[in-house]
This record gives sequence, structure tokens and C-alpha cells, in this order.
Amino acid sequence: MIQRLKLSDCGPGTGIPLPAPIEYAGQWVAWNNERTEIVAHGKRLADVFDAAIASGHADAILQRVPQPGVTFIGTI
Amino acid sequence: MKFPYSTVIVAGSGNGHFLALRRPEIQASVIGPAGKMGVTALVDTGSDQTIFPKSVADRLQIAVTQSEEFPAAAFTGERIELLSGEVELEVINDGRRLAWRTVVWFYDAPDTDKESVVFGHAGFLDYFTATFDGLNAILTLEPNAELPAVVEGG
Repeated sequence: MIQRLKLSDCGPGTGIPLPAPIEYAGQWVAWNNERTEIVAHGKRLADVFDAAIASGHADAILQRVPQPGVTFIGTI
Repeated sequence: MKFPYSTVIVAGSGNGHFLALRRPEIQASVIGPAGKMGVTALVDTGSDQTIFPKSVADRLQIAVTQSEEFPAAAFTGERIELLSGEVELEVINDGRRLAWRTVVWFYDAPDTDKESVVFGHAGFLDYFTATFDGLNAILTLEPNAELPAVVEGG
């Protein structure tokens, strides 16, 4: 589903999770547990996990940010 | 348990707006001997199995074995060898926590661009009645009698 949104449509209390900024495309990001801030990012999931822990966010949520304009058609 | 679809920016469209792809991805945690990792996972009815990158097994010290089942086939028909291992999965939503032990599969991705987390039937969807509300971009999951619950509480 494609939607036209603006940032103020997203985030806590809106029912729509914040998207990761487009500059993180192709990377893993670690959101803080409230999903309001990215606390680490990088190419390898395990490295981003460790970086999140090192920054005091052991409960971070890791998310892969796809490349813009690339749709997903199947697993792996 | 109701999970809003995740939001992925696919393009800008001017006036501060962007085009967003909404996907049925949910927050969950995978727990192994060396800790707990929170991830966003695509809930995929087209996947027979629940699959993590092998780097997750390595980092959480999850014991894996060569899967005894047939190799997996990706959308393109490419054959993929999977490893299997037992983990605890956890989902928390609106103060409700579900956690269960299950076998999941691990894929040793040749490069980091292929690392992804997919919740398919075995290990995840088999334990839920799932409703994909495309209009409102909400995934509803209700556990069924097959869920091998470890803990359920608030």
C-alpha cells in the first residue's frame, strides 16, 4: 500500500510508525524503544545491535531500511 | 493484538510530503543464550518458515544445525540452504506479552544487503489467526491453540 504522508502524520499517538530518514536506505537502523529516535545505524545487523547497546539502548528495535524505489517481491 | 504496518519512504513528492510504502512489519524480539534482540520483521504469508540472518544466531549464541528439511526456494527459484535453531520469540503489544519457544531458520547471507527478518508460517504464523487490513494498514494477530506459550502477561 502506497500512501502520501508528511512527517507530522507519523510517530507516537498517530498510529503510523515514523519512517527512517531516506539517508539510511540500504542500512539497518536501531530505533530507541519508543521509536522516536535512531540511536545507531550501519550495514551489518549484529554491528548495529552492538552499537545500540553501547549507546545505552539494549532494548532498541532494529529495522532494515530498503532502498527507495525498490519494491519487495519475495523473501530473501 | 493490533500492529500498524511499518512506514518506508519510497520517494519525495513535494510540499513536505513523501510517498510511503506501508508494510505488514511488526516489532518482536528474538531471545537466545547471549541476550535479546528487538527486530522489525516482515510478516509474510508467502514464506513457509520464519527466517533470520545467521548473524543473529552468531550474536545471540543460538546453536544451529543444518536443516534436515528440503532447501528453501526464494521467489526467483534460487535454492537456499538454511540452518535451524531453537529460540524464544516475544511480541509485546498494548501491554500484552506473548512469548514462546520455537524452531526458526537462519540464512547465511552472502552480503549484508540480503540480511532480512521474515516471519512465515513455521515458527510464527502457524500460531496465530492473522488479519491483514490493507485499507487501514493494520495487522491483527490473535494467538490460537497451537501457540506453545512460555509466558503471557501484561
